[in-house]
Amino acid sequence: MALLSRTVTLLALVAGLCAAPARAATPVQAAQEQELLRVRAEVADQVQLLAYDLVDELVLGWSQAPPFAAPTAVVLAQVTVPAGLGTGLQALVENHLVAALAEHPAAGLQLVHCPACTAVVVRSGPEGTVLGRGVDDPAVLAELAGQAQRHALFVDIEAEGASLVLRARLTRLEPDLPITWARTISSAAGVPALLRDPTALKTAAQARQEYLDALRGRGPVDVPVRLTLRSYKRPSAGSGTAPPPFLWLQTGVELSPTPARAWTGSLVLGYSYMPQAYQGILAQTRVHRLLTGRVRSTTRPDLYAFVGAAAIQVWGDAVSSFQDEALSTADILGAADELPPRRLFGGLHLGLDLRLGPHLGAAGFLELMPEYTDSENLGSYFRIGDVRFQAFGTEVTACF
Amino acid sequence: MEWVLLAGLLLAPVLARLGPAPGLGMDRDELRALQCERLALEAAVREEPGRVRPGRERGDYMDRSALRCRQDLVPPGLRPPRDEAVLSTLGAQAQALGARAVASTPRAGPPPTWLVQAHLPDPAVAEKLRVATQLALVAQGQAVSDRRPLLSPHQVEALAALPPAQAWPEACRAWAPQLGPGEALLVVLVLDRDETALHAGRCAAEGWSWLS
Repeated sequence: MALLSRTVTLLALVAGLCAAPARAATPVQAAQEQELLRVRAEVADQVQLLAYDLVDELVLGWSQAPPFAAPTAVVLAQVTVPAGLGTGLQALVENHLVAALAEHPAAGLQLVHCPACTAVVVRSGPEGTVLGRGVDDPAVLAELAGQAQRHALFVDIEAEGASLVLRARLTRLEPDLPITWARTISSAAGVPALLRDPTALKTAAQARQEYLDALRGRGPVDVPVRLTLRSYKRPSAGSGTAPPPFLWLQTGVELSPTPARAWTGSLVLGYSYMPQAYQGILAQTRVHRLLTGRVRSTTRPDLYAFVGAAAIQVWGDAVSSFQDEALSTADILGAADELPPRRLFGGLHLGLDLRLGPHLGAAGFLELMPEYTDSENLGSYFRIGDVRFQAFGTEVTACF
Repeated sequence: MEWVLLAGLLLAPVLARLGPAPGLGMDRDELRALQCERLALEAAVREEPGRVRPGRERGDYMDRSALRCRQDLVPPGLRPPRDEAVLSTLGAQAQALGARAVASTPRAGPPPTWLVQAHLPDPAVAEKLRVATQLALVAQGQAVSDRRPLLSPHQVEALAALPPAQAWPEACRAWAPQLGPGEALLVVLVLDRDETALHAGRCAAEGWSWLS
């Protein structure tokens, strides 16, 4: 806040010097004002983290290169936020700045309370009456000059197009008010807030490098361990008997040609065992395509679509349903004395894989088995023309 | 079937947004709020890692670059257009004003200590312009003071009656006694309430001069 009298003076001067006559402000309807308030609050929410980042960057810069040789008393004279965004954001930014300075004594700025500097005072003299803050009043500054050396810190944050820009300056509190230190820090809307730990600040470049290292450090090969449940649809009509659900334990390798992991491929082997019912082995390959962006995130869930193929061999008393002819109860009872059947068939599947961070995932898929397209023991979960997806699978994956 | 193909061909440019163009996902107003810049491939790979594929070691088959578009932080219409015009380019305008001020300094003698004032219809915007100009001058190696020379109310009243071309030099005559030795006052102003182009003048002991 500048000297009130000076503000009035400047306003009067501008009003007088501008050639055009003053215009009355356009009346704004109450609903429009409410909408403006809502939008202002929304924008303030969005820029708050960016503003915090800029303040962190400022304090980090001071910690690495203190502006004073020794700890120096500084008055936080002014914090301003983008025009039109209100004082709520201003208070938040001011509090964050004070907290960051308190956490980082290496910055060398000791915030002090100076009522004479920040309070609005009235001073009358031969030239007239001056109403304003102490930091703007030469007479107040002359009185302060006899005390310990002090500086005033001014921080201004403004939204300039797509960028948020912080301008900070330190002014020595003496009648000449020299600016002893100044810095401009710019951010951009496209750069997400870093949310740095306030007790261990790091530069934006360092934070970005850590992120890139995390991306690149994953390597091209992952080892997934997967638990899969394949369920087979019962036939909707007829006397067929669907196979029981198969629980598979699978492991193998998952490969990615680039660190971005937009495309990945996997090859896994699996084994399934149910006492007195069945056993099975499986080889399966898949290709995944990232749907949520172009780069696999380390911080938020990502969704992949995949297609794949599997070769499955199963044996045991419970696998007789893998045949075209309907399996009746008599067939099951009659087969008790025979050798357990053994089936080898292939499957084509497609599905969605939700990856939660770098190590966990959950997926669902539909599988068609061309070998048993006409089987009377299998219904279909989904059908596209003559293509029937007879099996539905769910799985959870842990990657190492 | 032919109709399906024809509809697909007609809708393809609308559905497939290859660049910042109006379509189903973005209307014209949203598009106008974007600020786009073309980046060379090296800069795009450096600034948008993972989103732009680096060039191949033996070169690409075509010249590639990236178009980066960002949304304005403050939606259009939230601030008065006159203020938005100044604030959206505050840094660039302050840099230009600082450069003009430095270029106006006489070569003989030591460089001055700059005092800065900004006179715009909105005091908050004027203060931001003043701060940005101060920091631009500091960035150019100039000594800058936070002090502001004053005008008394009766001086303002007298100056307000004059046309701008005469008023500012007269204001400088009133400010000059308050300037210390080696100090110069940079005044940033608009001549009309509705104009967005900024003018600047230099006030020093030798008098007022417009900066071009």
